[in-house]
Amino acid sequence: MHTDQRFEELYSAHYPRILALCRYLLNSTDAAQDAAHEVFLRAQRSIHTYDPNLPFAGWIAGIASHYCVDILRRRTTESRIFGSGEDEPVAVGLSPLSSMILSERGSDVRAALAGLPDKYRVPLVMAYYNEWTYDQIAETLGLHRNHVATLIYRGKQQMREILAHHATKGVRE
Amino acid sequence: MTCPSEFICALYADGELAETESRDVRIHLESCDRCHSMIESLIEENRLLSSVLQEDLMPKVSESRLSLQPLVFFALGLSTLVRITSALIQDFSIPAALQWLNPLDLSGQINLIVSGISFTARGGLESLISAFWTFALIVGNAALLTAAFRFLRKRTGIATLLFVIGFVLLAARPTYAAEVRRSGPTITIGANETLDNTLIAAGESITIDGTVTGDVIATGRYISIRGIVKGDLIGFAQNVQVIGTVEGNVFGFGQNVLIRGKVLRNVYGMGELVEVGRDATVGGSATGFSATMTIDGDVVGDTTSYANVTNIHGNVGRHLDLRSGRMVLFSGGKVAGDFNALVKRPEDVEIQSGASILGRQNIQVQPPDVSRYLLLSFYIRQLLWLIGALISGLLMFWLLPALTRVRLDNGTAILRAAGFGFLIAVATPVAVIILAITVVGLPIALISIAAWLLVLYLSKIVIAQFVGRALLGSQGAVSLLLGLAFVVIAINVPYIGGIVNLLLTVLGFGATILVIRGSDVSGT
Repeated sequence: MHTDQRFEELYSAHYPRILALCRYLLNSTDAAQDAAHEVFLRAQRSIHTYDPNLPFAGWIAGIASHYCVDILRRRTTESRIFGSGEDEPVAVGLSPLSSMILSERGSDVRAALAGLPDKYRVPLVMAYYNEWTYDQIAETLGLHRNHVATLIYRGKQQMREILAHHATKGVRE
Repeated sequence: MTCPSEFICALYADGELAETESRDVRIHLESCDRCHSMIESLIEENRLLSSVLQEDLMPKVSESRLSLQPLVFFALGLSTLVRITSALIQDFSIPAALQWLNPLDLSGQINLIVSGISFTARGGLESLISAFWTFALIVGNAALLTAAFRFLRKRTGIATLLFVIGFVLLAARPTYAAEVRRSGPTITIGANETLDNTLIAAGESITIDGTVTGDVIATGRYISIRGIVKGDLIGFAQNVQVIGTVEGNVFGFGQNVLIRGKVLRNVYGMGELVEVGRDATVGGSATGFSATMTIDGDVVGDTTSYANVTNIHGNVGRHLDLRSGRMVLFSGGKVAGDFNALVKRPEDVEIQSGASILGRQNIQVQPPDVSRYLLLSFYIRQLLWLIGALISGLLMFWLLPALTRVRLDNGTAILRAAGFGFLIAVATPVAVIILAITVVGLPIALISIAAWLLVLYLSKIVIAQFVGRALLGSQGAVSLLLGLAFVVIAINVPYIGGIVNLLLTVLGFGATILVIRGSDVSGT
């Protein structure tokens, strides 16, 4: 009874964050709602594995990330949705986005993120939303650390391309 | 040291370089402004990326792009409701109903729906309850539909399922917990049998020798009531015959609607022959829309005839209204109230000696038809239609931009659209009648017929849009207006306008359905 009540509190405190995480990872509001519910169900079932000395937010974000990546893997027929790590072209790309574009066009940034393929979006979300290290991401995705670094680098390049395209279009209008 | 690559800079900004490499970069930065500012902006980019992602923790409930269209759908539903309600108040007249294929005359179509609804909505408390349920049904479904659109827009399957479930729940009126019988060619309620319910029956022949305490809604070849029906009788059949007693109203559609027994309330008959036989009594009024209407027995209330030929041998308790065709009031026939007639020639009314009319006689001879092209009202009506169609069209193309893709640039496409349009235009009412037999199907039937009428109305606008675009080569309000003007003129050309109207409607209907169905109309 006591644990249930405690879990209720944890649920209401962390649900919005987990929902947003699932939405970023799955790129769908509907699927994210289902996934977030499932994540908390799983968390409740395996609450005994949670180490109270560590932050709950990180623990549940781990469950959510694993679960969402599983969903993404099931969605595609490709055996390796994150590629092999060798075929990632390291583009000589655009310079970092100016702080103005990023801060004034938050929704554009999120849209650009949503427009990325799974293999770039997922590591980016883990790196900048979960604020995980490359090692944590590599472990969750079962990839080599260098591969993760390339995906993040390439993903950011693509986001810059999308946003720069938007910005020039915006200027022309 | 040469400048580190951009990739290395990115890793450094993410704090992911190994300690030795990291130190090298740090040393380099002290001496290289370019790399220094590059790293600064990369770190700034990361920081802002994090904060931008965090800031959208709560999904916004309304995104303007999504919330407007359901509202419009809701408004459309509501306006339909208002139209139906206002039309309920109007009298139901069949000449207008004959115009149902002409989308220019919306009142004709509405009358058609209304006549259907008013079958259940005539008389006292019952009509109020019925009207309330109809109201609740439409409002409830409009709300449900909006909600479904709003929240489940990506899950059309679930949305549709919920919609149908909600529909059935809303439609499941407690009083309509009817007994449905459809087995076998003949359905008989035996002489000693009492059915404490509403009977819905479909079969080759339906015979009721016993008692049904509710309504009887029946379709088949022969419907014969020899016992007692305490509610209304609604029958679609070749022969609808009442030999026993119907305590409510009789709505008969068929080749012959024959009243030989007692009907305590009103009789509405549509068919080749509507007859109130010699020993028959109708407690209320009798109304006939038929080739021939014969009153040999007693009608306690008014008798109204839209028949081609009306023969009165019996008694009319109140007024006799003749709205079309010819009439003979035979010797022995009696009208206790007024006699009103609207005929083409005075000799269309024949009152034999020995017949009596106690009230006033008012025989109006219709002036010969003035050409409608000489009447101002004709042009005003066309103008109103044009404006209405323009607004509806703009709204429609905004809601369903796919409809602007209609293309009929070769013979195959035209034939395909016309054939498809004709098929659906004819098949829908047939399917609706079949659906309407079941309780569950009834609301679906009503919605289908409403959708059918809507598409019928919109189909000419789709064609007009196509014509306007072909003429001007552009798309928009002006080309739509031009197209509509062409359509209005084309369908009002003397003699061939009617056929043009029918063709355009069928063509537009087919093209619309094909586009809605997601099929390519280009015929290629």
